[in-house]
Amino acid sequence: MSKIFPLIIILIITFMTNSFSLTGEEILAKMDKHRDYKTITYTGIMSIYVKDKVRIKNLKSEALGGDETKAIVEFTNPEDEGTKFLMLGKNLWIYFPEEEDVVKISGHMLKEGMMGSDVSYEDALESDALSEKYKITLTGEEKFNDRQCYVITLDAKVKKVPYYKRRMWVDKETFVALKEEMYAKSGKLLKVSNVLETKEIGGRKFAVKVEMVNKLRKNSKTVFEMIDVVFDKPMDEEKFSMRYLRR
Amino acid sequence: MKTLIAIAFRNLMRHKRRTILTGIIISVGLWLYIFMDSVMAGLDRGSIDNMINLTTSAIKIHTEKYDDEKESFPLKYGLQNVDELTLWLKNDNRVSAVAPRTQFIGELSNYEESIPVIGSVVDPVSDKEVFTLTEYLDGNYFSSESTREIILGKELAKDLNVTHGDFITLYALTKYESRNADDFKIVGTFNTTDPNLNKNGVFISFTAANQFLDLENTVTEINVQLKHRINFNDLLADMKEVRASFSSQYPHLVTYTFAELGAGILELVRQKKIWGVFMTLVLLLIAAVGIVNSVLMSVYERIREVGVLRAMGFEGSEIMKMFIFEGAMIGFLGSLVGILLGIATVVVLTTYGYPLEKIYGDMYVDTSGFPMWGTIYGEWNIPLIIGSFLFGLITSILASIPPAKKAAQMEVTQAIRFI
Amino acid sequence: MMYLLKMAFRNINRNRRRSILAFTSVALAIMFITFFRGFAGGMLKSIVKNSTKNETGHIRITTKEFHEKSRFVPVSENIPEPEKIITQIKNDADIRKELSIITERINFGVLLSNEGNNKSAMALAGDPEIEKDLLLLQKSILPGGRYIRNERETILGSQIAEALNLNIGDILKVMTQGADYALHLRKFKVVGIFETGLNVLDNRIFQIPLNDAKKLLRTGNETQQIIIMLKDYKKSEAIAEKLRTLINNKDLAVVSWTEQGQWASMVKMASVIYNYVYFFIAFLGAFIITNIMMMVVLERKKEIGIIKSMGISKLEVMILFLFEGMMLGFIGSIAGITLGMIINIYFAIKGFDMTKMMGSFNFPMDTVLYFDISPASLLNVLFIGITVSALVSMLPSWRAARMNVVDSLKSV
Repeated sequence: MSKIFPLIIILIITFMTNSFSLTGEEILAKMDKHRDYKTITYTGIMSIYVKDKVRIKNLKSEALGGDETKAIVEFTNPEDEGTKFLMLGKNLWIYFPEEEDVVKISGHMLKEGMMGSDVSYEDALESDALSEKYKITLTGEEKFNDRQCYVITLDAKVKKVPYYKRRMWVDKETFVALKEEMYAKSGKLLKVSNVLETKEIGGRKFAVKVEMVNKLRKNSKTVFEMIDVVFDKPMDEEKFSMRYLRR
Repeated sequence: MKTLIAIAFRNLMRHKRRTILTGIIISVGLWLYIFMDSVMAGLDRGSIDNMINLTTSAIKIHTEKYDDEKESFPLKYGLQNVDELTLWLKNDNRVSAVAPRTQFIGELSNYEESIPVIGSVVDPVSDKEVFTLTEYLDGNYFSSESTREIILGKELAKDLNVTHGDFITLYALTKYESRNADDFKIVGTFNTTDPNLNKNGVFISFTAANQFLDLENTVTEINVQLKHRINFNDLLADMKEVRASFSSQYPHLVTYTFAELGAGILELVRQKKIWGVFMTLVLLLIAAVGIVNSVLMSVYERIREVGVLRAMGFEGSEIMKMFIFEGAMIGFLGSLVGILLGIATVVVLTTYGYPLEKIYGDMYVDTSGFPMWGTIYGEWNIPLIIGSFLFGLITSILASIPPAKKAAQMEVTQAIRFI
Repeated sequence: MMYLLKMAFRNINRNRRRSILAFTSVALAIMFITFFRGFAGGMLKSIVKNSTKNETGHIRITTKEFHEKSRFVPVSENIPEPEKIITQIKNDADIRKELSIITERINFGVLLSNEGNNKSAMALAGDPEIEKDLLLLQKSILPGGRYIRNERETILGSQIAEALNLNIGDILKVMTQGADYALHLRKFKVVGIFETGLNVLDNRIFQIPLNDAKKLLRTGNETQQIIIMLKDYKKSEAIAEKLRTLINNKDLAVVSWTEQGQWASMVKMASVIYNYVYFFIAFLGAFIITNIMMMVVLERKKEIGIIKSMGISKLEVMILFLFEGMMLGFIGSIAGITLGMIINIYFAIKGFDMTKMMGSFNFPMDTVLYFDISPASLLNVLFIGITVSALVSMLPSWRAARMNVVDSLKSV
């Protein structure tokens, strides 16, 4: 699955039907089942809202499934046409077409909003081993957007995490996390993501439209929409290399 | 000789008004000069003291790793055994106070707007002993168990449209680079002489930062304040010595003295002094012209008397001496009064200070960019006072030579006819 | 009144030596003031120019949002259709004659890196030809380098070059967030390294062509700032006001240098302090007038008695003596100004080279000063000369006026 956005990673559905008294860990495991595809390709539209302005970024993404992030994103909107991201594990390289050059992004730059959005580069690279970093507990059940949901709470077990606490509303039937709240150490709500639309693709329930709202700034949010999602299209692993990026 | 001096003195007494007038110009000249020099030096010293007391302190200590990356204020390279270092420093009798601080980068947000800030974590008790922030504070300092209190620059508060009592959101990365944001209560705002601090500076206490930044009492800098020295060069020497002995004890730590931290301002002051010398020369030249003219005149005016003296049998050289004595006496008295006035003014300036605003008069001047404002205190410059006394005296003597010569060479009849 | 003037003039003529002494003294003082003013004026002009040229110019036009956040130098708050505004300004006859330079400028802060070395820096992007007269960085380029001629060329401060280990011919990669918030990269060839001796420049600044900045930052047709330099910096507030009316766009901020930047207040303070110094010098120079007049009054006791008994009023006697003092001051001032002007005009044309005096002076200033010779400043000096002369003649004139007719007639 594309690991561009952690929420998307988490939002994929499984066919597992609901059983009762699942633990938080088990719920997360079921959500993780989303990754049982080999490859994913899609076209994305990112709408970035800041104050009263909106900017649109179009992109195409190809990614491998599995635990390690392996993805290539190519932007297609006129301003950024040809700009490519290569994500391998926790590393990010950007290819700038005009300069035909690749730059590795590191340090504080990773904390910046990706292409000016409310999703940081770091967020996009985050590995999914949530259960290693967080203690997961099922804290309740709630109705959200007319869907019955588990509410699971993730509390950081280690100090080196981007968010100290998260809460997810996971659809009892589809195991898509319909909403996620990200909290700071102080307990202050930093970001909220909401699934705006889910679709059934190739037999999977899949969140195709998600918004990320920045709670520290007024009128600041990013909406990400995926169209033409295709699973398991044969793909050459060689693609995910610096050599390919420069081509 | 004695007679000549007596005659010269009596002459001066006879023309009291003229003597006083000529003396006044010397006095006023020297007095204003001493006054201006004291104020200028006071301004420079004041700016330097302000910088030391507000932002840099006399000596700063970091770890080597912190020093390498200090532009990004890394929280992970804290100092070990801060208590031991503090104790060691305090043992030096030149040291007056020691305070730990930890700086961090953050963002302050009122939800509408967010502004990048440089935060300083302070220990409310010891920080007061080293830094003078509280003198510029409007509102309160940190209360003893301040967990979510913040103090920020007036300018910053204005930009974010907040004031004391309001809450504001501070956003920063913790020591473990986890995002954190929290609402802090603004207990005080400050308007200091450092515009950068007013625009981008925020302060929280270690108690607060241990929670907010997961700081675990990390201290990235130790600030050392030294005892006050009247002469600034003595202070610089103290800094050097304290640093040298500290470095030999703890060679792995990086230390900076104000000589490095304030290199910019020190250079500016040094260069200003060169300008000062230039300006002084011009001023003294004018003063000299004034003195010469006055003495010249008072001698010329009385050349007619020379005729009488010659007729009574005085030698040319004696008459010359007499006039030079007169010039010297005027110079002596004028200079004496001048430096006495100057000394009195400097005493007032050094003890009571002078409100800087008065220099600008009614004109509105935005003082926010100055390194200092408020009340300035004068500086003593003994060599300058002695020097200006000698200057007044010598100029007067030199000024009286040409007319004295002329008088000495005159024939009786010529002198009596001299208008 | 005329006859008083005539009488005063004749009196001055009566004791030539004294009069000559008085006005040489005044003339010398006024000459120094004129010289000093020219020097200080030139210095202030240079400070204003040099302290504003990198940031605000004499007048800067930006968007309101940029102005409010200007200390963070945002690249996303840009002026639409800047050419239109520039043409509009240039077409205004009143303003055109005051203009020295008008140009677009884009500044942005960026973390530069090269082979693992990092350095935060500020890019100054403008039209390279115009910036030759504004930033003046071409003057400080170290041997082996040259100024920017083409696109994708940069010159950078010596300390930046050192920190990044860059040499002439190397490639500088500039990666930054553009107006669209996305990351962009542009490569520049280092064609020159400059060393101005000013830390603020050598340690922080690199210059690139405006068009490169526009492409890198994706500002499109928009620009960040319009910088205006005037022929006379003192008029900037008035002209800024005129521009506000002319442009008439409430989304734009037209700001004079006096309203921003830390040097503005420093320059104002310097002007005030200098005025005190001028008065001090003039006072010292003119004080001899008091001295002379005091004597004159005593000498002419009898005359004063006579003219008073002839029916001349107290006020007229006072005016007579004031005229005498002021005339001395006036003639002296004219002579002083003329002499001072000759020196100043020389330095205004040839320039006053202070390279040696400045040494490693860390002050945004040219090393060659061109003296200020504005007529307004001459009038100002003349005014100081006459005022001070009148002031110092006050006391003796008052004494003369107050004299009792009988007593004065009785005197020797």
